[in-house]
Amino acid sequence: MSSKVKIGQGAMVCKEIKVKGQVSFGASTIIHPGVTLIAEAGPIEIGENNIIEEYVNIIHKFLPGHEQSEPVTLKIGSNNVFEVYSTIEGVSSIGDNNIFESKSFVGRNLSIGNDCIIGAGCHLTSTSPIEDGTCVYGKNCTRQKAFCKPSVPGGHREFLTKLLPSYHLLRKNKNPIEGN
Amino acid sequence: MELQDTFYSKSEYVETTTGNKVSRQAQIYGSQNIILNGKVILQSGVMIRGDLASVKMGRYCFVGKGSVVRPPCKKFSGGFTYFALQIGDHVHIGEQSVIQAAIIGSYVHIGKNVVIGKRCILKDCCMIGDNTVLAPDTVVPSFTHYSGSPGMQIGQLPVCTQDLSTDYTKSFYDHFVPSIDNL
Amino acid sequence: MASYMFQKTITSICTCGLQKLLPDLFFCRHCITLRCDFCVSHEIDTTYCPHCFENLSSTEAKHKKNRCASCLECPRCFNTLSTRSYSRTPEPKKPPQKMYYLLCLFCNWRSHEPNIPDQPTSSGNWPVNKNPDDGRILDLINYYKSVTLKEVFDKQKRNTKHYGRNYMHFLEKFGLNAMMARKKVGFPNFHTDGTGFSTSEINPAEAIENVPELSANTFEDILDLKQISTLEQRFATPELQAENTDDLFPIRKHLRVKHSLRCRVCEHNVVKPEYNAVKFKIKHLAYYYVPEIKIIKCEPLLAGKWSSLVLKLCNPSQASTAVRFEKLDLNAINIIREPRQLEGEDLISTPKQLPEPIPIVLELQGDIIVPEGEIKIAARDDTAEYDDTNEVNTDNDDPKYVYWRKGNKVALKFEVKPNENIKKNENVQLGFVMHFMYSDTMLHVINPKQPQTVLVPIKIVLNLPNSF
Repeated sequence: MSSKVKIGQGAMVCKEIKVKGQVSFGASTIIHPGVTLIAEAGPIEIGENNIIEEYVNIIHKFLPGHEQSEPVTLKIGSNNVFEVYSTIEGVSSIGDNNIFESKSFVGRNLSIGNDCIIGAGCHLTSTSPIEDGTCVYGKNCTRQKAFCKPSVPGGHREFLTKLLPSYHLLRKNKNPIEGN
Repeated sequence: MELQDTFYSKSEYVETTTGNKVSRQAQIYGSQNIILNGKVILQSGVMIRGDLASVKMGRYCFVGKGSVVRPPCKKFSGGFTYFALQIGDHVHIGEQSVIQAAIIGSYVHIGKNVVIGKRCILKDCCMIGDNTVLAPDTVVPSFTHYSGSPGMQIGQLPVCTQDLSTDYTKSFYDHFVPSIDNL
Repeated sequence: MASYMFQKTITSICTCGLQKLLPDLFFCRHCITLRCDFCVSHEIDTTYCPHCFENLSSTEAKHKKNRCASCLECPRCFNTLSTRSYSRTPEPKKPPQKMYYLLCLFCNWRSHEPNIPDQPTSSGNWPVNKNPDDGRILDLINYYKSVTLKEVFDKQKRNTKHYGRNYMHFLEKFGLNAMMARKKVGFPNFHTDGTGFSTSEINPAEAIENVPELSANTFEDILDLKQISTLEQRFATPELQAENTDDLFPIRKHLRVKHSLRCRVCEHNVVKPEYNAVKFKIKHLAYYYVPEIKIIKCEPLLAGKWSSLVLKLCNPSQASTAVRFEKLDLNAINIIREPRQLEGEDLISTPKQLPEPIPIVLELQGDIIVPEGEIKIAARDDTAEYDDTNEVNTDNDDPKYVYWRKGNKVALKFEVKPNENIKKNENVQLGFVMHFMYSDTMLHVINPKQPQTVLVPIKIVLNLPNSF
């Protein structure tokens, strides 16, 4: 499957990522090296201002046996943070302002609302949707309503926007920028 | 049990003058900010983000396959920065772990699949069990064994942990030999 | 390291009868025997907070109920809380003030949840929920303390002998003039004899008739499980036991202790930690004296057949040693030796007796042939790794038992034969006694004699996995 990547305005996408299928990155999104994006079941649309760190797997595949179904778009909202090694597999949609901490796993057919925090090491495989503003933590994936919205620091994105071009080769709509 | 030899294909690893064995499939960014003090083994798939801030590793360290060593970040009133990560000597980091600590002391053993949160401080001679998640800003005191999610103390380590660690990491390095046949 | 540090493949039997791994055992140089965690007395060296590492003396710690003054734990997930700040302008004319609140970085619990007011200082005096019955408990404790004191005085009174009335010259002789002077002037007596001592008053507990009843809808209300605290959360503060998660208050962090260990028999220190470092002032572990045994190679074990087993012995001490092996006699295994003394050594006090050792119950599931004769192992030499010429004296080695020799390590061949009736995948338990030559270096400094050597027996149990 050929990869087709659309990169929005001001987005920083490192070259060392694995892309399969049609993926579009919104404006000002930052993708660190080592990310795997598999869009077999349809295109993946990633919103604006997201930060996707190393070794994140965003897998959009059909269930084995359902390969002939209609392609479904996986929409990921804006201002999300995907920390190292987090995995999104077969989720229907992801809202805005969420934080997916290290090694979290969000399984099939879950939809994540807005302002959620999926804690480190949590494996979510049930099908009940995660409501807005929920905090999932602990080895039992305890859910708790968060007191207030998680703050996704804008300073983080600005820092990375300044730093990444000097160390990494970036993609820009099939014309790579020369880095250090 | 005595450690068995771990073989690696000679073409896969680069050996430096100070004895560092770095896999060619390890992804090292910002190498000018990374200091490896000698006899450090970095297996394949390891990612060291020296571009974010400086990373220092002591002697006889081992970083298992697929682990990510990443300096921690902090948001404070002046702005947002990544600051340096310092790892001591004789540190063993297991596979698939995410290390975002600020300081890791010497003689530390970190298991597989561990998430060390941001700005954690691990003192000398401690052990982090497999599959642990350490919350950010955790301080792990010496001679403790932490496990679980959130990481809590589950046991104590014997007094000779320093020597046990030294023996283990040294013999591991000695047994990490290139395979004889070219496979 | 983790897996083989805790794997009980090779264990030694301590004098009390327990099977322990070598790094967990201590070696008392005066009793010349192994001691485990239970055979040593633990003394509190320092108390410290595991988060801020503040050292507290034992009296301070007792006063603060063994809790840290500045570190708090999240009541939901028991992770340490961090402080976060934000700026607030209380009035338009005053400068913006920094306010601090507590946040758990694991489960996102905030101090706003139980409505704790934000503090203006980062070290903040975070309110800790007081036990409403604190006053009553203190009264009860004081009352019972005074009752015990009165009992002591009563006992004393019964035991004192009464002399005749004219005891003035006795008092002058023994210098009790102060008391007489006080009596003359008219000051009240010191309460040394308990006269005039009265117990404090206390209100007895009253029984109440009217007990508040359960509300009518208790069994019909729909519960929101997210609002109800778990048992673990409730037991963390047993005096309060909040039912609602909203009422959970932060808990002060419990202090940890650094122990110094002392042999129970001869009262000499076995382990003494140094202040604030990973080093130790005294560190007499078995790991530093007893040769360490590791399995190098074990042929697959077959029931009823002999397989070879190669064990590596490593001498950790700075003096050369010699080892001798012996079969483990199950009948004689429970005979405990008296603590031995080296010549010319004075014991600090009379040796105390440890509690009765546990009778060792071992099921040996096979036979083992151990090397015969004495096998010397060279001293540990730290410069050996830089020395390319590894001169090794292998002249006296019996090639039947010695596999190879390198520096302070020697590999020995053993033969094992599991029993016929061994089940599949069951670990084969074997034992033998290793006598090693312990050279005492303590008295050498005082007494310019040759360092004394003593042969110390160590009972070793091997637990060989059968699924090779």
